Amino acid sequence: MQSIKSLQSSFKQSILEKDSENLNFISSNHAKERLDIYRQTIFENMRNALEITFSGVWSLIGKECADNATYLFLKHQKNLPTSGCIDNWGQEFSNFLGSAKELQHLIYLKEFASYEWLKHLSYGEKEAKSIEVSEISSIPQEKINTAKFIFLPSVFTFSSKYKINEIEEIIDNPNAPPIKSINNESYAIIARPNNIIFTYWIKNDLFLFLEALMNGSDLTEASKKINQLYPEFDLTNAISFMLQKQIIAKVITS
Amino acid sequence: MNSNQLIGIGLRHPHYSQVIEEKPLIGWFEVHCENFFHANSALQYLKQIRKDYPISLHGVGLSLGSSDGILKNHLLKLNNLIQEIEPFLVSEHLSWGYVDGIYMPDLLPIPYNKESLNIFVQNINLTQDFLKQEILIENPSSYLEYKITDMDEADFLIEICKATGAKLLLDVNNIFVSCFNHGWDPKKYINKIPNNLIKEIHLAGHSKKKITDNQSILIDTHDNIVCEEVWNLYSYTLERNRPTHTLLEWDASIPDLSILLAEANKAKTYLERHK
Repeated sequence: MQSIKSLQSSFKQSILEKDSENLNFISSNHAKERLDIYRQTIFENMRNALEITFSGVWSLIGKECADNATYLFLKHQKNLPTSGCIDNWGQEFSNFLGSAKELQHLIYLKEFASYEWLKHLSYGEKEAKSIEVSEISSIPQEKINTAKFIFLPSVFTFSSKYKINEIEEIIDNPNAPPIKSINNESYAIIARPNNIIFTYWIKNDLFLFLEALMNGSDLTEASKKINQLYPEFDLTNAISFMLQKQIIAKVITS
Repeated sequence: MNSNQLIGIGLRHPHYSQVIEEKPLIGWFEVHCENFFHANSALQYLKQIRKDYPISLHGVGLSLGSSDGILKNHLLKLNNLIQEIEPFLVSEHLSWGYVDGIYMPDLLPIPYNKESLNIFVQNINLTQDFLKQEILIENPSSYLEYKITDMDEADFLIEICKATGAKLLLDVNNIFVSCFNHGWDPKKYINKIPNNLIKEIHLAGHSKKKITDNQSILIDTHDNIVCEEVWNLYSYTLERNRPTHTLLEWDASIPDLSILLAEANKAKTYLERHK
């Protein structure tokens, strides 16, 4: 008698590889048509999960094209979910979009999808409270220089060689002015203060400064590093930005 | 417990804010656990709603019938959610979805025989031990049967409950759907279930799909009102059992909350008739 392990592997094989030849483990009539019902639900649930995470991709390339890209993506078993929590799944979709021959002309698509994935990660991160302005202002000057900043778990940095901000604006607002050229860098901080996802499109100097802080540099180290590249970098404005946008969870002073 | 307290509805995203603002007259809500595994805004809504209503946690992704065992990480997340929400019921399905490192997101049917019984018993025992909590097992809707099945579904469920101490979430719509699809007798199915095992009942809508020119099967789509045959089967179940927590599920083409509440009221009239 066939073991359950062997039956479940055969079931998986039949579903994923559309193998209708070896359905002899099913006793019901019209086995192929019955199995198709499961196949459709499984693929639709996976497609739906990707559409929720990458809704901008669906808007950019249209439903038909996005659905077709999904089915190509799902043909590779390495891309399939590995746990019952499919909210955590889909990271590889952006790389796939970047490598799909049919989509090569959309040079920005992979980076736009990576941006949507980061927003998805931000949405799933733990809720945390940001610090108040008064907590920073009470730190003595000699200590603030060597202070390290811990950001909210939902904070992610994003950079692209394309104008992802303008592409996003076109999706959100059909009346937005047309993009003259997408070949221009864009930098962002994604965060979820008070449980709402925000993307702050920022300049390169502020982006590098925030990245340096997130990588463990203290305030002096980070500002020195940025000042070498951008002498006009304004540290006071940068600190003010972090506080206003409520992205700092904690300041550690030695 | 009065009939109002026994009737619940499936809580889905489009209704979160309305439930918090209007506090509708309903006994409890049930949610899919996997939608709340992240500590994000959805969980904040649920915690808010939990202040006013009992909550039941209903899992769809644990894959209790998997011969590869269940994923510890999934159990950990479920355990964290249970600590956070303190549900009055926790349930999962008589199904599987995980094999060879791949999860197929659906409630797949399992053959009913000695080996699969042992797999379920082992996985349910592990789950209940880990969660330190009794769980309810829901009978699935199924669209195909296997050659290696040698027990019927009701007997299989009863054996699982005997071996694990788990109880049943009897989905009356699923009984109707599976019985139609496999030519089983729904009343015989219900007659077999001892009344002390049922701790929750599910009701939902289904749809019909043609698979050949001459044959249709029913699909558990949860996208419609409960049909008259399922209401009758619910009534039949209540005649044989004590009044039980009953849930109205609606997961696709989700209507206005008032329509769900009207369905819940209908279930209440059945419960009152069988007090």
